[in-house]
Amino acid sequence: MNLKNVKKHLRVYKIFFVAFLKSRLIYKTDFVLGVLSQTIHLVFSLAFLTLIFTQVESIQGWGFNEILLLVGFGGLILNLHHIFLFALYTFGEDKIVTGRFDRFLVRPLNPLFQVYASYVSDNNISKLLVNIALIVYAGQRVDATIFTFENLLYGSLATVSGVLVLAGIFLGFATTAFWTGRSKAVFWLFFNVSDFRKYPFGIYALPIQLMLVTVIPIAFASFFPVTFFLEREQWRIWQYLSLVAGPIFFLVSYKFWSHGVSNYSSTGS
Amino acid sequence: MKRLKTSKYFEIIKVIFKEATAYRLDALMLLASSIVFLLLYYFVWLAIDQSGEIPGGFQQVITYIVAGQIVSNAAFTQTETFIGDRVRRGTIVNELKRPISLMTYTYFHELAWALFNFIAKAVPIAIIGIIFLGIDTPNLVNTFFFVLSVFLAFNVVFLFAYSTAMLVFWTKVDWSIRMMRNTVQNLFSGVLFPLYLLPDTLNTVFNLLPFQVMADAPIQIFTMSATGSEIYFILGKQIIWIVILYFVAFFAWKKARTKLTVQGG
Repeated sequence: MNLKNVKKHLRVYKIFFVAFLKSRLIYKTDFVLGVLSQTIHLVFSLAFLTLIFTQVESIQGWGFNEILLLVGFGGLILNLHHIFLFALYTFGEDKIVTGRFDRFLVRPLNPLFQVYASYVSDNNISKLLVNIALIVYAGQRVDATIFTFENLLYGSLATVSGVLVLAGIFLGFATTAFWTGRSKAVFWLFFNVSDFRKYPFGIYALPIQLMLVTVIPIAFASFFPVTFFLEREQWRIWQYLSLVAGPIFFLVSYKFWSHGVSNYSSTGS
Repeated sequence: MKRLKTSKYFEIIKVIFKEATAYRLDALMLLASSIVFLLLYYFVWLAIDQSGEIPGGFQQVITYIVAGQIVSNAAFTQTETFIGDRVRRGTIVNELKRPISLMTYTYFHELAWALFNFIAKAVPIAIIGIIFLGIDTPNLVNTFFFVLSVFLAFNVVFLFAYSTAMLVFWTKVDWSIRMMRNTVQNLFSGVLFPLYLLPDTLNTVFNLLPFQVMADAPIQIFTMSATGSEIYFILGKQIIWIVILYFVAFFAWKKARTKLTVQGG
């Protein structure tokens, strides 16, 4: 991948992106209802958190606003990932079983890039905005000073790394579709596991904590970075690991993906 | 004649059961998702219990949550998908040509899926709850009425989902409508948050909504917080909602049908 190649991919992405948005104009109801349902989903999950906090004042030393910050920051990373990189969700059903993946292999572009470029999950935009609002709201109410230059720098790097962590998880899950022909069902499992990011890491038993830093490493994309903002010293190593976790997990998954691509034989229609 | 009529419905159930077994992987993944959900909220409530005082204690909450998963896995149908697929592909016309009404056909289709889900998901979850999470189990009488109440809950959910599914005739998309209904339903029915822990005023409001009889009602029978005549009151309330929602579903379909004729032109 030299610079010229990157530039070409970016230029193609822009064309794909605009083409996708144009095609979306035909399905305005889908977009409006999609945004509405995502917003309702987020509002209801906040209502649920509020109900939880009618029972306690803090969960393992995490107060309501701190949990909100955790939900907001983790959600921001999740939504950023989903908006641009969600296409892998239907990879098995849409690309493998139908044999459409063939097309991607004959074009002079990276096949994974083409999968990503084929779909923009635009209905996540409202959630992204609400999550940013949550960070701003909760950030002003927690004890620590959140809005500093140091946090901005760390937060930006952690966001990029976090998006890559999620991309790595998605890529790993979707690659299994080369053998099974399906991908949606395994993602249902992920969607439920991804809720683990909303609560303090310390409440889980050790096997679950291990899972959240290895097989499904979402703790790097929510909990550890937030402890940095809240100045919790005991997580120091994990906070810095969060900055490199993304590239590492993504590269591992990409290796797995390449293995899958080389094993791919078309459905032959 | 009567025999023949019932066998028609039995055939639908048989066919769907075969269809369902073809989706074993999906069922397995949904079961796994449900276990992940239980695991998550087991630890969340455990942490809450350690940080504060839950009225009724941890044991009761976890029993309630597990019962909620049993009920939702068996009774919560996704009718919007069934209708949506057919509306978009235009094959809804075929369903209308059948010797039974669309609502009846959809009902037996969903009932068959509910039966399959009961065996493939609800029962395993109950077993996992009893063995690994140490939940309280109901006595024999309550177990019987629990199953009956889950069946009534299925009817409530079906009629409600059938009504919202009729919106697909206008919107042509179903996933967002389904997601909205599930989001609202999961919170208001008690699947996410035990209704008995709600503040009094909220509890009154939640109890007036149809969602309460979708999950909280059978759960109360499972957790033995409803016994004797209270059980009959719960079943009666479910039946009243079934009657009300039947009329809603019926009129929703009447409206949607006129929309369909326009589409066919």
